[in-house]
Amino acid sequence: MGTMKRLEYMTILRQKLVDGGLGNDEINDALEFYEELFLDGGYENEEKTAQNLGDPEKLAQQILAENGAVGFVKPEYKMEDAVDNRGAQQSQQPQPDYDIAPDNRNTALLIIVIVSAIVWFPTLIGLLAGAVALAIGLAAGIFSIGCAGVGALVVGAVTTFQAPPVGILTMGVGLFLIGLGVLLFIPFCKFAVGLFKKFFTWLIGGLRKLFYNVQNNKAVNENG
Amino acid sequence: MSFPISAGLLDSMVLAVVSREDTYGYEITQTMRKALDVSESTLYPVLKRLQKSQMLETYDKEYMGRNRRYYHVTTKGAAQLSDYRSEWLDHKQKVDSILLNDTADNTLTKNKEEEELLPQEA
Repeated sequence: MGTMKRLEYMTILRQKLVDGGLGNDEINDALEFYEELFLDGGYENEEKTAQNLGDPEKLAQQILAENGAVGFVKPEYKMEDAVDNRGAQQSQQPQPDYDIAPDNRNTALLIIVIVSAIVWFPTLIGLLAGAVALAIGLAAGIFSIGCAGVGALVVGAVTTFQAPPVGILTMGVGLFLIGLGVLLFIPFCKFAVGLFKKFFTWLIGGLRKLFYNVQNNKAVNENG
Repeated sequence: MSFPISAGLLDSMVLAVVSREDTYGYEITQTMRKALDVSESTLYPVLKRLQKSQMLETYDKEYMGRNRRYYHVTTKGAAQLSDYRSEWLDHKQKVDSILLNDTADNTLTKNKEEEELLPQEA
């Protein structure tokens, strides 16, 4: 912890107090007190002040205990303490002050989605067009089986007059192909249309949810 | 330190520090650290506790463009401090009589001197 400075220390302390479920007034009161100690201790002594104060997590626990707040002791912290402190500290890098507050995460996400549209929109359109082309191609392929069947049927019917066995065989093949085409074509079209419908529902639903969350958060923020 | 510091002792010492004159967090911690090996972190809960039990009250003063919170001993706090002081003397007496091999006579005269040295409450 040796080189922890005021900002880092205060950020961790705040986070731990918030995690502990302490009320806003109590959190601000405590933070003001420790901020004052840092400032009165002098800018050049910030590391020393932090050292004197000790581990911010322990300090938070003390403050929480004094306030009768419960639910601070999370089992995973205990595990980390027991296993490896260095690893735990690295994984618990303090979040900088400019980190996006939870309330604004959706707004931030929305902005990212909109800004990155330059990249993802053409990609999406390309992928969609590809998928549509593939579906139409397959449908056409299946349709052509049916057409070939009809052709074979007609050819077979004509041939039957000249060479009955060959004609009947050709007609049989034609009927087989028509049947195959019909059997494949209708379910395939249904499947493809269903898939696209699902995809668009998902896309629109996702976007709507995002917008809705942002608006909701705004309302909450304005009320709060 | 071999002797643990109790919450009561911390409370009474902080009360005594503030009773000299209204003062702020940093100064309180510095004064306390001259006598006790306490972390600065221990003192916030003590101050909070004393505020809650109405022994201390606070007011803010501007200092170098920022806020500084001053602590002030209330009447209730002053009465409590004087109780703490006589309790401490009694406690000290008993401990000294054994720990320092003080005879009863010695302890008595010593304590009389000490009691005269106690700051007089207004």
